Amino acid sequence: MVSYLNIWQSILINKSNRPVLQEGEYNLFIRDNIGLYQGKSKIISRQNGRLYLTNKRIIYFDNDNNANCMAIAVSDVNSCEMIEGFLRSSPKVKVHIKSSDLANSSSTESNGNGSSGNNNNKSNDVRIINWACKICSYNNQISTNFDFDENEIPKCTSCGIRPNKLYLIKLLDTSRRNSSDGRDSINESDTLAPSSALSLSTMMTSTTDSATTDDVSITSRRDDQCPTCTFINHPSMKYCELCGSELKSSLPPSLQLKLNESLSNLSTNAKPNTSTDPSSNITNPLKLRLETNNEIYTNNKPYIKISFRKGGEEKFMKHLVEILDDIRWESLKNRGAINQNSVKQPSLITERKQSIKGGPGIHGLELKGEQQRKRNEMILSTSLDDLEQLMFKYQDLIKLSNSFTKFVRREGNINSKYNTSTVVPPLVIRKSSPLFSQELSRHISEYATNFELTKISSMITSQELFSNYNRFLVLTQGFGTELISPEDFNKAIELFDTLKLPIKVKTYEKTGLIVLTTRNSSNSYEEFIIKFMRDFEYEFTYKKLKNKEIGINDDFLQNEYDYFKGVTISEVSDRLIWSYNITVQEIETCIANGSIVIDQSIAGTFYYINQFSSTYKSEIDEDKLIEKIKEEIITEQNTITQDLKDQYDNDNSSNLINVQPDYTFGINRINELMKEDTGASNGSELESFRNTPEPSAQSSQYTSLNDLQGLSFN
Amino acid sequence: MTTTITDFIFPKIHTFPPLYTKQPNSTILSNQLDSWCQIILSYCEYYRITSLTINGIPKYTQLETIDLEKIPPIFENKTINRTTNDDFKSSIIHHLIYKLNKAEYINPKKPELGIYIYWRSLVEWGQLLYDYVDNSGQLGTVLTIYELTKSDENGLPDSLKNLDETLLIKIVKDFLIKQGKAQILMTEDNEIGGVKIV
Repeated sequence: MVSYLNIWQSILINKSNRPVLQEGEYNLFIRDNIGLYQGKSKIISRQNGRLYLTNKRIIYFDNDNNANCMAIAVSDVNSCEMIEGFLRSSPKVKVHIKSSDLANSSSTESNGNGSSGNNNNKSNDVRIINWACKICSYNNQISTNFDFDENEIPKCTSCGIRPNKLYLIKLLDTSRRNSSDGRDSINESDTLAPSSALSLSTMMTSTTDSATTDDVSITSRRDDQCPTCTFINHPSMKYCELCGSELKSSLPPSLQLKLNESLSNLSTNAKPNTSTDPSSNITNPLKLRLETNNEIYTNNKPYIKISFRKGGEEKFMKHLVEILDDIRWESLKNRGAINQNSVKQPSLITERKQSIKGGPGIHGLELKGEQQRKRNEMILSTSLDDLEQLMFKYQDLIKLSNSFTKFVRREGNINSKYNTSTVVPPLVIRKSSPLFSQELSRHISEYATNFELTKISSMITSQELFSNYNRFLVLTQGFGTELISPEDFNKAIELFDTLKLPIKVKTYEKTGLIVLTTRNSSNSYEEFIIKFMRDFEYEFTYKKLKNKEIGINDDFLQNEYDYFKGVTISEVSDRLIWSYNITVQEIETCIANGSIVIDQSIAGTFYYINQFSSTYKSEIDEDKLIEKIKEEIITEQNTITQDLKDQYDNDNSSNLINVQPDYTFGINRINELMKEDTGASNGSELESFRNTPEPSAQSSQYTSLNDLQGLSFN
Repeated sequence: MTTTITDFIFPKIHTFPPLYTKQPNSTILSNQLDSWCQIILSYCEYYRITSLTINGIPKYTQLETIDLEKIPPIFENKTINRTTNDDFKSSIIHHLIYKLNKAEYINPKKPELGIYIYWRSLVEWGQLLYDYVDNSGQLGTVLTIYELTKSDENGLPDSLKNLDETLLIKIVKDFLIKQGKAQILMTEDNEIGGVKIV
């Protein structure tokens, strides 16, 4: 039984969990929710991943474990067919794999850095030859298809001197003649024998043939010997250590594979398990495990199946067929099996949609229209393809965010004002409904009266309410709720009056600031500001006098409490929970009314209660206040002393209690002991008394024991 | 005459920071200006300052013992770190002159020369002067300016002592002469040689 598990190769992964593409490779198609089958059985732990179809590989990228990522080269694919989904089995694409030998060779090929594989394909006419620098005699390399007209002559990599052009041309000519003669140097043997007229299958055999002849030639020759200078290099060297000419790798394919793997391991975390058994390493390099023990294939032809759990199989099919066609076309072209000027027939799938030029008459016109429509449809569907995938991702995101909702809600409950017992039920109405604005208006009003305008002095700007309301929606209903647009919000605000809602809109004429207040609130907020200022000043005087009484007198306090520094707008906004804009407006009103005066200095702008008018009388009676403060200080000091005393007593008593719980400390106990006066027993009791504390506790209670020792017991 | 004088104790409002900012509200502003004028007048009276520069710096005082540069300035409060700006000062002075009539430009054509501060009005000054002359029995006698201000004889009252000469002349000219109670005698050099109060 031949195993085909070795068609799977490990891949390089970049940091953002995407596969690293090879040179000239590009993505054609990406799909999530993919499972893999080898033959009839599932490949274990390759059932949840993304599929990247590139022009060179089919890459499976595991969503759970990066180490499970793997790929299969498109060149290994023979053909593919679709399996429709049935009941619970999802649609699959069956990918037939080419024969075993090829799979083996190509896997080693592209397992390397890809360039070697490329070289093999192209090297029918391109080779690398050496040229020796005339100055330093260093061996440089140049490809045989080097174009002297377009490119500058290369410099010697060792000394930097350009060689003579004639010398290079001559060298290239001779090498070309050699290759056309068919008689090659040892260098030539790694290139594929030019097999122009062979069919695809024979070409495969020829590759294997050449590989075997290669092996033979290597074994006949001394291993690792440099073909140019005969220096024997380490087997892992790619270039001769001495002269720098390219070495033929003499390693057997298995070792080479291993070497390449270990090299690629340096940069990838998709590490295949290196096995001690080299044979299993070849047949199953990635240690894949199947559900069944053996690989079972219908008709005994190797294939894998890709299961599309969330659809997308048709597009995958289409892309894959296109790639396969392209590859076949290329290989035919390379073999010269295609006539000049011949045009590739469009592939079957695309052909169906391709237009046949409509004939004359109404039928033709209809046909043309039909074709046009189909073309448009195709453009639309392909262009919306990505969008569709985005929507899938979006749904995942919504699911994810919903799973976080409870955390968000709880957090909101903890930190903010939404923890009041009142609950505003979410608004359930369609946007298109004619009642939407009114309902929204009611809802906003409900929200505002419950959470924002809780005090009689509360005011909120429309912008703030807008943002807070939307935030509230998110907090209570989770992400993914539709937010309210500014237009809807403005409409809703205008409806407050007509709907007779408990809040009203107030516009400041000067700045056009729109503010929402409760309907029953007063028109003037002067009293709130004045009251706040009074309180503030009182607080200030209180602190100042208190500090004076206590006798603290450092620079900071002196500066801080030198004189009453007034209130700033931000302090007022802070206290009254207004936004800055509102405070500015209200204070301006107060100034216009003459109740507040302004102080502008370098330090900023401060506001004070008007003291210029003759009616002003300070409400703060400093003498009384001083009396009060003095009393307070005294009580405070008393409390502190009492607390300290209690604490001290507590500490001490707990120390004593630990010594012996049932021992009542004091002279009485000792007297009792003395009265008993039973000589030895007395002494022993005292002795045991002294030793009562646990050894561990001894250190901490040593002081109290010392006190005891200070007493005379005799 | 007192040898030293303690610093003027400003009223409480002087430590009220908004005092130093020109208030936008007109009612408050006039209150504020009144407060300022009150401060200036009591300040000048305390230090016997009869004239100020237009920037509010004392120009002349009757008290010889005090150094005008050392007394606390009116328009500045170091404790609260505030000063009145020049613009506001001029409106205060304007208020003092035209609203309260408690001051006057020394030379109306040249306002930059400074102002007289009338914490005692010209009438009161004139009355004071007349009373002194009357009480000392010098009515009808020609007195030199020196005799009216610096002389230690004849019991010149403290309030008149060391009075600014220009102010004295202004008192005589603007009040006593208009009342027909005085005459000014000019010297040949067109200077005021003496005053005769009748």
